[in-house]
Amino acid sequence: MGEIIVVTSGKGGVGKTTTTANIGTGLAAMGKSVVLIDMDIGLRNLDVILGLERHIVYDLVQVVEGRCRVKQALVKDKRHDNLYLLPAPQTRDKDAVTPEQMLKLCSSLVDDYDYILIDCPAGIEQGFRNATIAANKAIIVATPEVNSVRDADRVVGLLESVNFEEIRLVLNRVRPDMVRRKEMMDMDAVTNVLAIDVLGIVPDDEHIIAAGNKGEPAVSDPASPAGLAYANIAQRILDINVPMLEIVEKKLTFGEKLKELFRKGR
Amino acid sequence: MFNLDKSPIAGSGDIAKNRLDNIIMQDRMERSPQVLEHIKSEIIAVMENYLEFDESQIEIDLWMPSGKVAGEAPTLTTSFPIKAWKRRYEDGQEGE
Repeated sequence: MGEIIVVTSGKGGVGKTTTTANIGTGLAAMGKSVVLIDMDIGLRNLDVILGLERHIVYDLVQVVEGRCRVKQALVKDKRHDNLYLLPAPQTRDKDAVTPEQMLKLCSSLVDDYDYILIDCPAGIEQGFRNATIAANKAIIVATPEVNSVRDADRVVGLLESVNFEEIRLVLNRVRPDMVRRKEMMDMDAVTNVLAIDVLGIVPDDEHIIAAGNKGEPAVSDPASPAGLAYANIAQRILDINVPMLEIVEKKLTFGEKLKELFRKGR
Repeated sequence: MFNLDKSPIAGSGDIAKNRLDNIIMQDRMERSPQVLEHIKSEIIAVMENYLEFDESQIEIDLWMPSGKVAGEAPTLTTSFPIKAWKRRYEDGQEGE
């Protein structure tokens, strides 16, 4: 019996799809069988991040409408035999699927795969309900910005009200240099507010853009700091104890302090 | 100027933290307005032991600072016009 985990955030553009693709790929690289469900109906992106956009035949809505079998719609990943994508249709609305259909779909998959990861659309309307209905665990993606954390708090409240078993945070796009200069909230400021467990901290990283360009998740790139953070997150999902990425205030040398001072003075 | 040990003035990260704390408090209150009503009715239950008052006159408010001034905290204020002080606890005696 597999686990069903929804990746959600409330706010758009904080890295839900990237997080889904990287965690899914990371889990598959460790031998787990994984299905990624793109619930962003009408605005699908997960296929592009995975580099699978040219391999799509059927989509999620065709599955729930009974026009194909679920195994026909699953797109096998190029690099991992045990990783599959269930794509969202590009031409339908969020209400093309009902929560009941999602429950049925997920229960038809959960016995055959270790992990079902659901990429939730932004917002807290119908698409959110469809994406969360079948899951009992959630990964909240937030960036260290006031509006992102505010929306995350709203989503955590909604998930707690329906008794989610586990809600954990991925703090994305952290800039250690900005945290050090006190120009960005640190992990504590965010977790004090959200009061949920931290699954991982992902640094802001150019490799993520390059990975999206190529359609190869950064978790497979040993040179990518964000990729490393995602690999650690995948391990933590498997209950492997990995220390948190150190994003702490760096001790400045005298020379750096001087530089800092002059930078401020300008 | 060359006192290098002095910590830098609050950066926008600290402003963000204060604003976030306040916004979250306000959001949570708006999402569950009944909490303020619960607080109010529990305060009334305690006050009734000691005071006489008109319930319709009681006001309870949450004041939110901007987050940009250090040391300003959200504050719960109640306004509680009293009609009379009950006599039951005079001279340290449990009355009636």
